[in-house]
Amino acid sequence: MGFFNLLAGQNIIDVAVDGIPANLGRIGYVIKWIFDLFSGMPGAIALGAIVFTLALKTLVLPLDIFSRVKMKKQSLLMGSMREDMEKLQKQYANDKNMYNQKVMELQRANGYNPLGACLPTLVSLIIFMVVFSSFSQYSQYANLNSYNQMAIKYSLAVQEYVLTSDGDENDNSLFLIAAVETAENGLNNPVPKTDLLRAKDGDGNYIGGFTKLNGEPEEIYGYYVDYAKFGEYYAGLSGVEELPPNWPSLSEVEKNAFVKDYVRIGARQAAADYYHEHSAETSFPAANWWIGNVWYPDSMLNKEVPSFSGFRSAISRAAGSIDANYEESYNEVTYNLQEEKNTYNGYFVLIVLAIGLMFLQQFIMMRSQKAANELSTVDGQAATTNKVMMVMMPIIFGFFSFMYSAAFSIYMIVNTIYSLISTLIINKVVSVRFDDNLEKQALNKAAGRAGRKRLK
Amino acid sequence: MRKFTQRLRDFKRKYLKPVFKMGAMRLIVFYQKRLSRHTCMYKPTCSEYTLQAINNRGVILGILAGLWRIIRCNPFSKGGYDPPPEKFKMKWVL
Repeated sequence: MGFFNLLAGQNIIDVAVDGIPANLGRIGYVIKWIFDLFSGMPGAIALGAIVFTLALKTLVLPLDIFSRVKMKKQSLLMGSMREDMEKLQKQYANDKNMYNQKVMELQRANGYNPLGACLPTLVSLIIFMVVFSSFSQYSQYANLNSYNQMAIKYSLAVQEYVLTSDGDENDNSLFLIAAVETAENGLNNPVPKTDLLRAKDGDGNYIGGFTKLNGEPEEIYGYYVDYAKFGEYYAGLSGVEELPPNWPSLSEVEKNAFVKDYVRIGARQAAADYYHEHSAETSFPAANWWIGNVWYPDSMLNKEVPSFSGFRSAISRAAGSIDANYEESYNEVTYNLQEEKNTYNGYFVLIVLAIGLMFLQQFIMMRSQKAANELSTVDGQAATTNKVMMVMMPIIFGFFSFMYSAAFSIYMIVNTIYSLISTLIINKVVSVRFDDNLEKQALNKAAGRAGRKRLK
Repeated sequence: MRKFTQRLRDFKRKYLKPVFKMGAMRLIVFYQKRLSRHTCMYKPTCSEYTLQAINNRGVILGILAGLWRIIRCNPFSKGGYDPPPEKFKMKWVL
């Protein structure tokens, strides 16, 4: 029996598409929870990115404020010691160690404590890196997940034609019979009345193409076609091209090709419908307006729905290694999205905005620490460093937003605006307080002098 | 075979070790020149300390010493003058 079935492999049609298992780390699930708050709203992902950024920044705000206040104070104090420091800089231009020693003496005399520990900087760097990697993993995960959902919809549409255990045997529309590979009967064993299951993906959801046999889930190898039923069913349809006149006399291969084409039409449309229903969530700021899919960069080099190679490189971290076997499935699922495959994903707006804001922020940071930068080393090395940083940082992050996604650009823009505002507020508060303190000190000194004079 | 292992050892001593050491030191110097914000509670700074420790005791011990120093360089410590030791005394290990 098994031998004949093997020979008869050609009368099975294979319309399965493969979902790709996705995995997500622990911090990724926290991020997922934030993004899930907005699911269903238009521009949900962009909103999620904004809220995620604000939450993260507020979480590390104490550390941030601490270091920034210290920096600004240091800079102001340095500014007040400027004349003495410049004298020292000239005097010990050739002797770095001596200069450092003298500066320390001077600073001690002025009640200046060169706080600014190394550990908090390192810790915040590590936090940023961990969160950054989880964010990029989550973005790949979500992107992959929406593809998997499309694959599920595709498989479900195919399974509408499959005869199940609770289906009516006389129903013409149930013309497919599942074929399963089992241990006893070998390949292509027909399962006339089957309980359909969906296989698990990374999240524990089932993806189509599985059946329940002896209580165990088994993969459906393909489908047998009941040609008589299909003929009747197809004849009853309206608005489709007619059945070939010599239908009963066609070979099984030709019949199968015809049936496969018919089944695919509905399935492809189901997948495309799912995409269109949910495309408003992944676009920014509104559907079909500017950025088609925020999981891809906001650039004209990317399409709203990429080709398989683009897709593969965009989800490589969430899916592990994907071989080229998935290409057929991917092309099948996205078959009806040709228009999206030819639409630009964006027009560089977010990237330019991110770089510009980053530049502005670096500039303001540099200005607010001017004195400290110029005076903390003999040759004013720190000032040069900051100038280099001012150019390099925006370029590096601009490169990142080209590489990753528009969601990352949104994250960066919100991040920059947030720290810009907090920097300005901190600078204002600290300098007002500093001036107050100076006035008080001057008053105290004057009072002390007056007291001494009186004593004399 | 013995000759071969001897040669390998010589090769490591001659070429590989200096490469790692110089690589690590050059990275630190690059950091000092281009990335550092020049704020540290100690003299010499954490990066200078690590640089000297690597020079004195090799890459692995030097980096460990530097890490320990960075951990000490937190807002709750006093700071001050703290040069890297010429030789690490590890009495507490033995």
